[in-house]
Amino acid sequence: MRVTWTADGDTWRMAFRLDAEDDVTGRCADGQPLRLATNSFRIELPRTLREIHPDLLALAAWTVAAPWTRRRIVFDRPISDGLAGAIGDGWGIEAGPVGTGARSGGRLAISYSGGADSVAVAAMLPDAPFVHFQRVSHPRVPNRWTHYRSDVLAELAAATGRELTVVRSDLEFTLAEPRPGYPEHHAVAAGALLMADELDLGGLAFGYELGSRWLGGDRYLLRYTPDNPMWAPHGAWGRAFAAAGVHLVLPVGGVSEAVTMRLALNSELRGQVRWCLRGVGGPCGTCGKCLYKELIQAAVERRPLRTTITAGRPVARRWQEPPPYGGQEMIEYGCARVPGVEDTVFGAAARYLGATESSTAWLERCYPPAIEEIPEPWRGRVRDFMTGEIGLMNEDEARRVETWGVA
Amino acid sequence: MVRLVKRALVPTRLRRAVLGWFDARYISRADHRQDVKDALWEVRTLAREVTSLRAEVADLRAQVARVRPDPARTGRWDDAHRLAQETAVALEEVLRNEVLLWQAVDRVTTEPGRAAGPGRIPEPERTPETGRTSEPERTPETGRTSETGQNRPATGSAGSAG
Repeated sequence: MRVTWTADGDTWRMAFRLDAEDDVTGRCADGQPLRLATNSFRIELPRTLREIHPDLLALAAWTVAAPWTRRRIVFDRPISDGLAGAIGDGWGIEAGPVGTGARSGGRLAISYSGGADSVAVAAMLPDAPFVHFQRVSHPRVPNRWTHYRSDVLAELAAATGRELTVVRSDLEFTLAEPRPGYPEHHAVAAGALLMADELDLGGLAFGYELGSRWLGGDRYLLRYTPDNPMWAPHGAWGRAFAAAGVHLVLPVGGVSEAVTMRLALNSELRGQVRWCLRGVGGPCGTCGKCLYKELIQAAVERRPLRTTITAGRPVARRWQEPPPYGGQEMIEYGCARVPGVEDTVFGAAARYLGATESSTAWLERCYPPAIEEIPEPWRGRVRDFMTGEIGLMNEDEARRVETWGVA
Repeated sequence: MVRLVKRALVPTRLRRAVLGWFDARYISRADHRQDVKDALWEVRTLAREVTSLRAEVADLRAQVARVRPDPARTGRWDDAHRLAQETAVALEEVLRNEVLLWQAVDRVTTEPGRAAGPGRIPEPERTPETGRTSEPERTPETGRTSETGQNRPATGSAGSAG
């Protein structure tokens, strides 16, 4: 793989070329097979930057090119020894050329999507600036996904009144299958990486919570994952980001989506919370994500489920089938707490899971090792917040995390 | 008794003045009658209007029911929709082939020695059935070097997905 960045005012364009052994199909860090759509994208920054550290450009490029790189990656400007080593150790990929010093920075920014999890992070870190990734159409790839209202999400981010940097990019259209999206989960940070020197970033906080970090949630392993390659600080991506001087920080990595939901709903940004990508004036209420989050919100608010989605709808089909589910811990939590859940679309799942309030009580507290892996400059704040506002899991509860999907 | 006493006690002139004042504040019977008549007239007018509007609605409904989209036109719409979808898919294929084409070009220009190696890359003349360079439209069955994927355990089966 060979990578070339060109700057045109505030727009940075990246193009990559496949080496002989590279392929248009590959897998990202969670194992999902991915098919390439095209080999160029752009990132529009809010202002023109004179210089960007080569490691930042290289890592941003790597968040897109990694799935399709087989043996080596050649960047157009020399990177640091540390980053080359991290890519070599993490992926077995030879990265170069090497020949620049490592960078570092001081501040922590939040990669802010506007969903409940990142609003919870924002509530924990009230003075951290936001960096928001906004999807824009790719000039070469037909955009058949205009229902994705990234413009609405960007407006909501601006309405928070927080210090905000919006970066606009079409990098998701480099991915054709399963659908356009971040080639690696970390591509959401590509714009933040390019802005890292400008914003003096030493860390980037994500809203990835207990399920994503420790329980192998979403489309990953669905079991306890202390060595999660995406989000563990000692995993391949954690080391690559650290080498570029932008540490991965998961302030809510130790708490479940029930806790982040409660934090978001009690936050002053409640009015700007939006986990739905489709709705304009509010969440659409009909997509799978709205259904999943409604279960969690109803559980947190201890009220019946409010949805028009019926069991026959495609978005509800997976809940009629037996587990395992992605995000299963939250389905258990919701089924145990939503009054009358047996008569909803989650009724079948509730019968399969048989969860109770006491069997899901561990999801109300923070898993202590998640605090220990927060980089030192920000660990104290997170620990104070978690001990003060949430409470830590005891040994039995922590064992629930550590035996998840295994026992 | 009390009323009578009270009545007797109020001087006639004052009583008249008070009653006259009251009368001035309230509408007379004649006026009431006229108002009721006016209201009735209005109701009848509105009823006639509603009847004619109902007739109009029924008429329009009948018209709508009669108007069916021209099948030729809907056929064209469906066709345009299908074509847009297929063009998008085809364009994606073109874009992907462009990536593969550049991959082939780079291989030829940067590693001419390897290109001639045995069994590595099919030469253009090795695909007589198409008469074209095989590189840009290479498919997984023709030239994919799947063994190289083993540098990354995670990409192990990627070669078969192409």
